[in-house]
Amino acid sequence: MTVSGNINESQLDMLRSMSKPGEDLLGMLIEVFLQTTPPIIDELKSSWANKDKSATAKQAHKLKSSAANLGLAGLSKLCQTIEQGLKADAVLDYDHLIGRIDEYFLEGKLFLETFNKKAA
Amino acid sequence: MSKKIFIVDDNPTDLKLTSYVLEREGYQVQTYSDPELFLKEFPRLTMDALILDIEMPVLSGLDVLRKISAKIFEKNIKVMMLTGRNEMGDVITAVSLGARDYSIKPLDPLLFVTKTHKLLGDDPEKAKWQQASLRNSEVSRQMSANYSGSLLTISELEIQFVSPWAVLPGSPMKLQLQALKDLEIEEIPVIVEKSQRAPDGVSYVLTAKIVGLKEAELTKIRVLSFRLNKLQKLEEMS
Repeated sequence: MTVSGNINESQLDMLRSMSKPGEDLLGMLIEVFLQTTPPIIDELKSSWANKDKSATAKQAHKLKSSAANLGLAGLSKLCQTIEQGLKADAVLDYDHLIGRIDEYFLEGKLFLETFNKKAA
Repeated sequence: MSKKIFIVDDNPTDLKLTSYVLEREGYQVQTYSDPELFLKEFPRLTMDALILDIEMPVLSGLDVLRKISAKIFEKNIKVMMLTGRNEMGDVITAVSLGARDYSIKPLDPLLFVTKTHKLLGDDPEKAKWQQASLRNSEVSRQMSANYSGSLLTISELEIQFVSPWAVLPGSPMKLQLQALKDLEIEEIPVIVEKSQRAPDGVSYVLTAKIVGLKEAELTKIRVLSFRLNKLQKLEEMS
């Protein structure tokens, strides 16, 4: 299963339309996202491994927002489930959910790179 | 000279997005990803507006606002909070600390830019009233009002209603209106922007900016706004 059905392309189109002439806002945001997300995922996993629910929820919150900015609705929703579940002390299979972040991120990364290349 | 805006947000993509769209609008933008560093440097900084993310590790946006709240009023710095959909209670606290508006993450860049323009709107009369409101006590910043008057117009950003008395522009209040109660919205936090004498010469028409609503409430307001517009058109036709 791919996450492509969980992409909000209208968000990406809007970001592209907001670029100044000769600039590529979407490309810049994708670059920042791809550079800064792996450390966030690492920290999220390490917080979870240390049973630090609050820190895990904070990293999930951060990733949720970044992913939504770039139209990665599936990844954002996954992070939202983790964040809200941890904050509410809900019983969820967090190992499974956190384990899926890499998969969603890699598929999202591939989608964004392809989407921006097509547009260029 | 263009207005200067500071943005404090630990999220790199949000920081890039907000700074880009505001620079594109001609504002001078400076960013901080570390709220502690911002607080340390705040005394020597000058700014027209401050945009603060609520959810940050170590120091939250509310912590930052609490520490600089007095200076915000003294220096007339307009503050907008950035918040997630599940942190609306924090927005109400932020308003009581001096914040004037909020934007929900993930950001809708167009709505964010519109709100920032409104935040920095130059209205000499409003500025004069704000000076007057500064002399008022803390109580006036947290006043609550219950109006049974009629609702005139409403959108996601703004509400216009009839009030038996005028209210100083810049005053935050928790507004209760029957039309909103009918939608099971008990109260909405607003900041009054304008008080004008109503055509009846007795009451006032108040225009206020809405500063804290949950998504479910926004949906109800969109429906109400649609109904009011339709009603107005029907009245114009008859």
